[in-house]
Amino acid sequence: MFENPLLITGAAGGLGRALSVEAAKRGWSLVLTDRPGTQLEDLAKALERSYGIRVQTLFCDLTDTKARALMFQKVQALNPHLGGLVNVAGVDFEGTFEELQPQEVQTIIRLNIEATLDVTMRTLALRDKEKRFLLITISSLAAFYPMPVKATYAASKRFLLDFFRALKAEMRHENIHMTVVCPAGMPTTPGAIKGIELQGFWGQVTTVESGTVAAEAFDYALKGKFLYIPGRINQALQALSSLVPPSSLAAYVAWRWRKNKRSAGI
Amino acid sequence: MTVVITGCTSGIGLALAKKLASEGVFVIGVGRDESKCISVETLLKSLHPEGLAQVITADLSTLKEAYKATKEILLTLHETPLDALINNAGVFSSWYITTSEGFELQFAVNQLIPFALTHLLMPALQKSVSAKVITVSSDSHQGFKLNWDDLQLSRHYNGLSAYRSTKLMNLLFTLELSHKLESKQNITAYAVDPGLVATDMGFKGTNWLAKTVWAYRKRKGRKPEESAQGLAPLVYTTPSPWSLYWFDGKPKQPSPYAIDKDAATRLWTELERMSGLDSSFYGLVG
Repeated sequence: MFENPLLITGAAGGLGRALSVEAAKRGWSLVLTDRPGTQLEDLAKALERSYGIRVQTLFCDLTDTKARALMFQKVQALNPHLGGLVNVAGVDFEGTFEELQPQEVQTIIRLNIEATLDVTMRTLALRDKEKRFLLITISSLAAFYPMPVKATYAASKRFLLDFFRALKAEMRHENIHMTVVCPAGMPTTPGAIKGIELQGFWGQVTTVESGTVAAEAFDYALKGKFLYIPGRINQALQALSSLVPPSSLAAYVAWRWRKNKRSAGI
Repeated sequence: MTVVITGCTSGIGLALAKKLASEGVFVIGVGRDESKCISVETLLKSLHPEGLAQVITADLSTLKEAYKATKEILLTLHETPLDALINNAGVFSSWYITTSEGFELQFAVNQLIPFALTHLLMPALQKSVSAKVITVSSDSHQGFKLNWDDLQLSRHYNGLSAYRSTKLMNLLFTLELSHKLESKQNITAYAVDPGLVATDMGFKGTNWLAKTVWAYRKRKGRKPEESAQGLAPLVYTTPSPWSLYWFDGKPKQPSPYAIDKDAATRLWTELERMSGLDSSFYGLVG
């Protein structure tokens, strides 16, 4: 079946690359976007060669409203229709709410929420209603918990989960495969690997690799399943924690954070 | 005599570079860490009778860097022949990590880049009266088969499986390379089993479980110098009869999967496609 190209945001990052490879392997032509200065071109060339697909690359700072509009002009000039969207672009900054810079808090909201919704709206407008449309969004396991020290990030991911849940119901008669992925941290960067290794046994058993997440995200989407939590242990922990009042969960996370901070001697 | 050794700043690569340099070979090494490259270059120069050695800094996990490194190597060679390419650089990773080009890290470093380097240095190798392409494989390939549906094991990644997979590829790559070079008598390809060597490879980018296993292995392992000792004769002489796989200067039996001609051809085609490099000129007289 002929498919229109898939747009992937945040394609140069660890999970973005894994999802791009997975989509290419499944035969989709791609429109990849990431911030200026990322190595999108190298990825695009390798994917075109390896999988015989067409890849277009666009650099865009998605937090910039004008840059987004310009990007979509370019997308539309080359692709009358898009066959789907994978929302990967997202950001977080280290620190408590008081430690963060005002611009950092703004950037989290602008990229994770505002840009994701705008890109989704613009991509949906370019769909061919005669064909199926794939809409995968990367949220986070943090979407299920109010998370002290990651308060803005976790809430932004919760926003996406709730938003797409509602959108799916709103558009249920359309041929749209909508999936939200809620993964735990993935070992894609030296920093992330260190974080997982510091958690020892639990870090080890709750970690699901970006390659697996990418492959299964497409499996879930194509089967029409909405929520994908990678890893059985993570699924079980999420189910258990849903029985606990949110304020108790938040208190627990904050307690663990203080304890870790004390033991690290900071 | 001029020899290129990748991964020359530690382990087997360093031991071999030291040995060859002290025997008068012009070693062009490649390493990832710039400060290590500088100190190893100084060391090799002090060992070489005429003070000749060069170590190039390049992260051989991407084709882009492989191109950059070969450009520098060819500039150094300046139309003189290259007598041996030793594809020694190797990596182990417990985690599924993709390079900026989207390839799985172990696959990229352990097989795709050796393929690319061999290709890019082929014109220089063709100038030699007797050139060698030696790829450091491992006996961990035994009993392993390639997963053709997912060569880079992206869906169900396991560090050890990925490692064994790339070491099996090293043998298949060497087999197909030998076949491609058949009409070109002056270039020979070998794969080498370095034995159980006490290197730090298993401590870089691995989880606690792998680190524990590696610590045990390292205690039982032999010195990199012993592997270098076993490997060096292949650089100098062409033993007859030809054999694909070597251990300490003696032919060794690889696994049945490693001598599967169809698999070797299939892997080669995949590597050509992924790298965009066409090897049809290998057998031609240069």
